[in-house]
Amino acid sequence: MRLGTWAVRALACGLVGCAPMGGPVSLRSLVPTEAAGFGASGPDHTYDRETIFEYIDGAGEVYLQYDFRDVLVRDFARDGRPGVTVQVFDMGRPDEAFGIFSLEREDDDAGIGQGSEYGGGLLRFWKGRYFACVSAERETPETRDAILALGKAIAGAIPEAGAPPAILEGLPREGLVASRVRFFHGAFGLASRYPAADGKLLELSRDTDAVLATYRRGESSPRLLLIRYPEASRAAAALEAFSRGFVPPLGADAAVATGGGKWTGARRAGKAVVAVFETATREDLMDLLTRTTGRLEGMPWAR
Amino acid sequence: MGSMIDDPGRGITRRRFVTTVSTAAVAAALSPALAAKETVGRARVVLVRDADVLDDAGKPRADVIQRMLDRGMCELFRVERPVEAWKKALGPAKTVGIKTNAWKYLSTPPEVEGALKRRIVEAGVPEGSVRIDDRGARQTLASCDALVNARPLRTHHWAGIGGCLKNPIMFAEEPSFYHPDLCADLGALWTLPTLKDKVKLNVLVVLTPQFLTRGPNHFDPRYVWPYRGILISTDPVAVDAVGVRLLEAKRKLVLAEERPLAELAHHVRIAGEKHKLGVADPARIDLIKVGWEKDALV
Repeated sequence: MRLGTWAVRALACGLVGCAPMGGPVSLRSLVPTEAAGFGASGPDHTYDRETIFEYIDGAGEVYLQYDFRDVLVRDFARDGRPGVTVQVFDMGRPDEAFGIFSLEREDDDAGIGQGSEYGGGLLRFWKGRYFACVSAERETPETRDAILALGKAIAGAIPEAGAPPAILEGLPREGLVASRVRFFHGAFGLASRYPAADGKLLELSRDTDAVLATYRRGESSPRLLLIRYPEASRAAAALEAFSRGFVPPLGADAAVATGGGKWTGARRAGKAVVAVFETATREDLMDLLTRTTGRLEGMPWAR
Repeated sequence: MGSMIDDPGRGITRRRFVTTVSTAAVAAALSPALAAKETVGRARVVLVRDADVLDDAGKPRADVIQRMLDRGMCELFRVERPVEAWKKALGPAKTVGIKTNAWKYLSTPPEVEGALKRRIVEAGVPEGSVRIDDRGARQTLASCDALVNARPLRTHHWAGIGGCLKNPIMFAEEPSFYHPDLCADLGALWTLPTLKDKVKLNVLVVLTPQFLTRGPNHFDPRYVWPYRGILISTDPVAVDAVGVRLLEAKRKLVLAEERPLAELAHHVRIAGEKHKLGVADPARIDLIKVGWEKDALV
């Protein structure tokens, strides 16, 4: 899939770069008590940053990488059918909700909220500052109907949409695979999606914004990593560390041929560092780097 | 396949079942001197697979599990009879704990628990002195003389994999203490007095491993597959290192986007290099493959 509807809508509406909107609402108020013949069963559960491990053990750390506030869990049952569970996460800000959604995205769009996917009895979507998952113990036609109905109801109850992360504006549009745009902060995001880029070398941490994108260029699928640091000096230090520490190290022109005839390179523009991996040619590499740094020139957050 | 559970007293001609051995292990078998040299700093992991271990509903068959475990134990300890292997493994232990994993989507199968317990008892441990637990392990298994560490292999959002190294986490008073840097120092867990030197055997259940984690509950039935195997080793690092390779191979085969696991699961490498719990380097792991060969991937 090429550039997706969320990005088109966001750009068309001028949403990207807007201030976060919408204060928190009661998570309970977002979730219906009945849908497609399934009714709420048992008590609701809520977990916050302190108690998330009680619910999902060590995987809670993934949510703590973002601005996660709390989550509501509500189970649904219908006689003789597999159970369905709703989880609605308040992620604090729309860009954080987009981030947790994007990091794990694999399946086809379900047309719910501002971005969604459905597959294997699991619906994931984001809207505004909220990220939601609706899943079944086992996928059947009935649980699928219930999952989608619950998802639509929750999305409809979220009062306001929100803007995706501003850093996404820095991505060149040509060849961008919108379903493979991942937003995160620390080294975990890269370790999870593209460890070859080495988030530790790039000094990623909770206070950096990073987006990893996949492009289609002929037969190749280069990756573009764009990072915003709080200060230009940190961006410069990270680029220096990456240029020296990457194997093989980058050359004087900030590019290097890696295994299999692929190319990698990196540049800095103010507070931002852009690194491109696995292009088929040096020309492709330079083109992606130049297009990105060109876009960054007009973006206040990169200065 | 027959349904009879192997008699522990009956010899198993283990060589009959060995289908593949790494080059180093073959060389070692041909030369006792080389064998001694090669085993220094090396680890031995046995992979046993059986095409018939899952029934039509995907449920493990107890008799086949028992036979796989017996074959694996004989091969791991280079003995002819399972009871000999278990006596070697457990030594003089009077109380044995089986640390399982109760995660509801992919738990240690009762058939595996039963097969382990049966042979532990036959090796001389009183039945009442064999305990099985997961969540309560810190209380119920802490006083055991020896532990058997058995759990299914799966991917994990934060630690990369849930394997044998991670499985004793319930022995920790505060599990989140081990979370920093993608659980890098999970190996330190194994220095707890309740664990140190007690784990005598690691059984990584790969009957239906999970190769991709999805959603907050981490489970999606599309991302498990019937591999029909068990991995056994005294070395928790080596058995997990093989597990990482297996999951990486499956991901490479199936997923549209390349998703290496080794860096995310760096706690395995660190457990070997820093905490000296075993061998993570594939070049120093002798992987002995027994039984069903199709799509072994490792």
